[in-house]
This record gives sequence, structure tokens and C-alpha cells, in this order.
Amino acid sequence: MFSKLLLLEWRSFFRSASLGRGIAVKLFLAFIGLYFLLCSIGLGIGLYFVLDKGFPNEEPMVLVNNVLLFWFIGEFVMRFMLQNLPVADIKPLLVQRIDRNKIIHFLMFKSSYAFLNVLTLAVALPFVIVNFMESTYSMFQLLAWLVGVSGFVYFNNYLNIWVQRRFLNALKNLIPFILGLSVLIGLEYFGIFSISNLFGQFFNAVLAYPILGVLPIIIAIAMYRVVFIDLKTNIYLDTYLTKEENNALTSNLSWLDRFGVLAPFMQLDIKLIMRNKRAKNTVLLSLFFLFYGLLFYTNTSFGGSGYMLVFVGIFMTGIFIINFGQFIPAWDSSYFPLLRTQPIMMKNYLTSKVVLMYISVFILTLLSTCYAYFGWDKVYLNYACAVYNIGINIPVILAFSMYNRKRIDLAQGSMLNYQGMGITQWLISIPLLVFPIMIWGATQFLFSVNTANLVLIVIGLIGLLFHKVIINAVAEGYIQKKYLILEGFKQKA
Amino acid sequence: MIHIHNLTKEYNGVEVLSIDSIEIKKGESIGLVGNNGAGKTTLFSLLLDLIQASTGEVSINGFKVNESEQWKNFTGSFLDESFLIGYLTAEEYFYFIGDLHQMSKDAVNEFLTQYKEFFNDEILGKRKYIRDLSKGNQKKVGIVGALIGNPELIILDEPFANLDPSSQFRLKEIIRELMAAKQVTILISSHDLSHTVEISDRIIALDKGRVIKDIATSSETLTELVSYFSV
Repeated sequence: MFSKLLLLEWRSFFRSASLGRGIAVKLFLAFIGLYFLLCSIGLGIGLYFVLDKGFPNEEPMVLVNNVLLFWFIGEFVMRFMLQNLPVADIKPLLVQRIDRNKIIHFLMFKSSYAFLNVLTLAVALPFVIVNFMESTYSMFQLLAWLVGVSGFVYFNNYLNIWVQRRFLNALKNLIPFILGLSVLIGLEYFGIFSISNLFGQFFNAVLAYPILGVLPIIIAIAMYRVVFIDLKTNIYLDTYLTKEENNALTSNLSWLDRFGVLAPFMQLDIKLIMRNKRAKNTVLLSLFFLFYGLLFYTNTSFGGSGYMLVFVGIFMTGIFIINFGQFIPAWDSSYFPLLRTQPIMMKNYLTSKVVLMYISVFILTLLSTCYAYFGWDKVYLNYACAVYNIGINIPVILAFSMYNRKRIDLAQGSMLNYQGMGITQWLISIPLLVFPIMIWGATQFLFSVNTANLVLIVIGLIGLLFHKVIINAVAEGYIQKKYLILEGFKQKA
Repeated sequence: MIHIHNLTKEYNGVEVLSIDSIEIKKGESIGLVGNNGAGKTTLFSLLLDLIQASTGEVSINGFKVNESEQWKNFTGSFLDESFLIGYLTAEEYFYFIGDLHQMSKDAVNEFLTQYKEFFNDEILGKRKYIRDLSKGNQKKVGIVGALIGNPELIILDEPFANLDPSSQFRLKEIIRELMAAKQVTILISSHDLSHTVEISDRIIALDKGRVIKDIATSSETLTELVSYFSV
């Protein structure tokens, strides 16, 4: 039976509609995965020597044990964001002649092979090997330690499933736990009480009494049991398999009516952003990236190089253009046939998106003015970047949008579901970032910072003059490619 | 009203639709029947310029659908859920379509009052997004959406599917009123022969992409169709 279920899994992977189209993205992801894996192995090998050199009086193993708790907490947070259990996939199996227990075991068995489970072990295994060669620990001791670590890895794996099932729809119930964790971190930071050392003591004990290494495995098995029972009692259409349903927000957006023919589209876009997880995350991400400046402005090693500051400026004021503009018109993919059969001027449709992007740049630039704290020169540069974003990057991304034919499933909210797209996003954003950096860098090298800023502004303003022409051309392109766009949006990934 | 000439559609060399000629006059009410895969939805998609014809042409009121956009001003259509905007409430959806037809909110509200019975208190004022409505209620939203803006031509694909019995009766009422009151041309496809015969004055039957019957509805039409489709 298990083998038949595995066969289903195999087919679902190789027959998915997105396999062929997204093969480049998949390859890229595989490379990223490989990269992280190699990094982890490298870390595992190097860790012993780095610690040995940095803290010659301490045993590297003990040092590692003392921070192990934070590693696991970090791993858990990563899991919480990236890993989820596709419970809904088993819906068609439930009414078949398959033991319910078997289905749930299978579901959880699958999760045991997640990439993140390998990552920690990819660090731990080389670390153990190096320890075996360099330190005084015996093979048996080290093996027990490794078993203990893997126990916690799998404990984390199942704990994550449990927490997600329990709390994903009621995230505020997590607040007490987060508060508790913050208190512990605070105590740790001020040196009052170190939970991390306590956790480390356990692993020291494992090295002393290898039999203790079984304990984490027992905890992991217990967690497996908890998740198993929880899933078994709750895999019903009206509990875990239910679709999330929200009370409709009432929003009065009549203030947008002043935009005339653009108003219906702008109201639609704002509702799109407010009511769909995926679109909402785009905006939240944009606000989050405003803090990007902090990273660069406080770090003096970057401070001297203006190129990086242009990068930050373009990025901070234009992140919404990059993230939202990327997916025009795919945001509307699920109802594009409606838009094609209603009396809509493509020009108005596009203009409304452009105005929305103008507004985003305006708001982000306004917020980034706070960086005046680090000197007004940063602010001037950001303003110049904002004008460039408006003048050049908006039409560039609009022109690219003609080739957007991949459907977006607005209902897919969880982070993992669009990680792949996130990476292609960054790839396409490169030309948007590289050109202004080159232009600014060259002028600054030949003349001065002020001239460089001015050049960016002038280029932006010239671009702005051509917006009408470009929007009309793109609208024409949309009409030319209407069948291709409709066909693409019909394909569900 | 509608002029179809020499229309064919191929997918990978397989012909799925081939129609020599169909003329539909203003005010006619056409029922399109046929089994699965007969080409009903393909024909509607071609009428609405959602897919590209392999050969031939469709024109509505003299406007070629693939060249002009004019026909959109007087054509209301609902084929499937891709005509619905899931994250809007039903009201917001109607206002949006109203906006596109230069209808104010008040005008849309006024228009919606006549469908109060059809909605059966399950759609308006429910603070529910369309994506969270049941399939049947989604269909109702789509059908009424297609009627906004006083269209001269209404195209509905399988409007009776997923509707409960009472709603099917009410929908038939609505269509009869449209046929009687105004000079509206209606195209409806359905698997249900009796519904279709009841509300259309001309039946076009498709099989494997070809027109096999094109007859005015009479008292014998239903028996004729039943005998054709029964195996």
C-alpha cells in the first residue's frame, strides 16, 4: 500500500503542469539547495577549527552544545515559514479502501524527507567526523551525540506540523509563547539565567553517558504520536480540511472616485491587496524592506561606497514596483476572461496600475525620509532614486508584463507556495537595479555626487514624459497577445 | 445580430468545431444542446473572442469580434467562474461591472431589486466573498452580473447546472421576461433538453463540433431531441 501511495506522489510530481514550464526555476532552486547543503557541510568541517582557534581554552564541542538551543529555535522558525504539511492532498484518499492510519503515517513519513531535515545533519555529521579525528571523544560518544541531535531535528519537524495545524488560523494564540521565548532570551542576554547552557548541559551529559542520546529520539517519537493522534482525530472536512473563510471586510473606497475612469480598477487593486494573502504579503514585504537602509547606513564598511547606496535607494523606494509590477497582469489572471469580455480600455487598466505604483513610490520615499538621521545626503540620493524608479523602472516593468502568462493563485497564501517565484523575481529585478547603479557610478566618478543625483532625476523626468506613449504601446501589445495571455492564465499549476 | 461564417477551431491538428454558417437574428432565443465535448463552450469562447479561431469569422452587430471591441458594450456573458472576482462581495462585483457600463451604485441597486427572489436572501448583504459562496450561489452572481448594463445579447453557458430546483424555475422566469419585454438576443447552452426547449424559440444541436440540428422550437421538438440523444 505504501508503495502505491509513493507511486501517486511520483506521478503528481512528474505530471504537474508546472514541471515543464518551471524547469528552469526548479533547476535554479536545486542549485540554491545544493549551495546551502555545501555551505552546511563546509560549516560542519570548519566549525571545529574555527572554535578551537577562537577559544583555545574551551572544548569546541562544549561551545557548540551551549548554542545548540538557538540553532534549533532558528531551525524551527525557518520551518514554520517554509515548511508546511499538504494535508488537503489526501482528501481523495480518505474515502478509498485505505486504512486511515496508513494515510496519516504516509503523510508524516513524507515530511520526514524534507530538505530542512537534512540541513542540520549536514552540519552535524562533518562536525562529528572532525571531532573524531581531532578531539578525545570516542566514536561511541560522538555517535550518541549525533543521534541526540537528529532526535531534536525530527522533534522540530513534527512540532512544526503540530504548531502550524493548531495555530496557523489563530496566530495570536502564539503570542504567549513568543513572549515566553523573549523573556528567556532576555534572561540569557543579561546573563541572569541561561536556558541555552542548561540545554547544552544535556548534550554534555550525552557525551558523558551516551545512553542519554536515546532521550531526544523518545521525545521525537512522542511528538510523532501527538501529531498522529491530532491528525487522526481532526482529518475531517469540517476541521483540518476545511477552507479558510473570512468575513468580508467592508471598505469604503469612494475617495478614489476622483480618479474617474481609473477609479474602478484602482478600487479593485486595493481590494486585491487587502483581501488576498499573497498580495498582502507583497505590501508587507515592501514595508519590511524599508529597514534595509539601516543595515547599510549603520555599517561603515559599506558607507563609503556610493554604489551600494544607489542600490539601497532604488530598492527601498521601488520594492513595490518590483514585487507588484512583476505580476501585472497575472494578479488578475483568475478573472481575466471577465476583463476581456467587458467594455474595458486596456489603457485605463494599465494606467491605474501605474498610478498605484506612483503612489507606492511616493509613500515609500516619504517613509524613507526618516533616514535623514544618517545625513541628508542619503535622503537626496533616495529622492533621486525614487524619481528614476518612477520615470524608468515603472515603464520597464510594464513592458516586461506583456510576457507574463503564468497564472497566480491568489488563494495560495502560505510562503512556501511562492518561494520559487520569489527567486525569479529577484533575477528580473537585476536590470532594474544595475542600470541606475552604473549611471550613477559613472557620473559620480567623472563629476560629483550631486551631478550624479541630478542625472538620475533628469533621466527619470525624461522617462516620465514618455509614460503615455509607453502605456499605449503596452496596451496595444496586450491586445495583440490576448489569446496567448488568456491561454496562459487558464493553466492551473 | 450574430453572423458566423466558416468557423473552425483546431487543437493540435484535431478539429473540435466546424460550423459553415449560422445567422442569429435580433430577439431570437437560442438553446444550444449537445453532449460533453460537442463544442458548446468552444463556440461560446469563439463568440466572445476568448480563443482564436483557426479559420472563419464571427461578427456581432456587424463588428468582427476579433478586430473590434465595440460588441463588448452590448454583450453580457457568463461562461464559468473565471468571470467572477473571488475576493469581492457580490454587491462589490455588481458595482464593478456597473462602473464599466457607466451605471451608478444607485442604478445597480435599483437593477438588483428585481432579482431579490432569485437570490433567495443568500447573496446580498451577507458579508461573504464570492469565493466563499456555494457553487450554485456563485452561478447566480455570474448570471445576474451578465445582465447588468442592458445588454442586447446575453450568452450563458450551462446556467442551470448547480442551481437548486426553485432557482431553476426562477431563472426560467427571468429569461422568459427578458425574451418578452425587450428585444434581447439570448444564447443558452445546456445539457438539460427540457429546460432548453422551454426557454428557447430555436434549438441548435451540436455533435462532435458540427451542427446536426437547427430547428425552430415546436411541440414536437423535445421528443425529437430526446430520441436523437437517447442511446
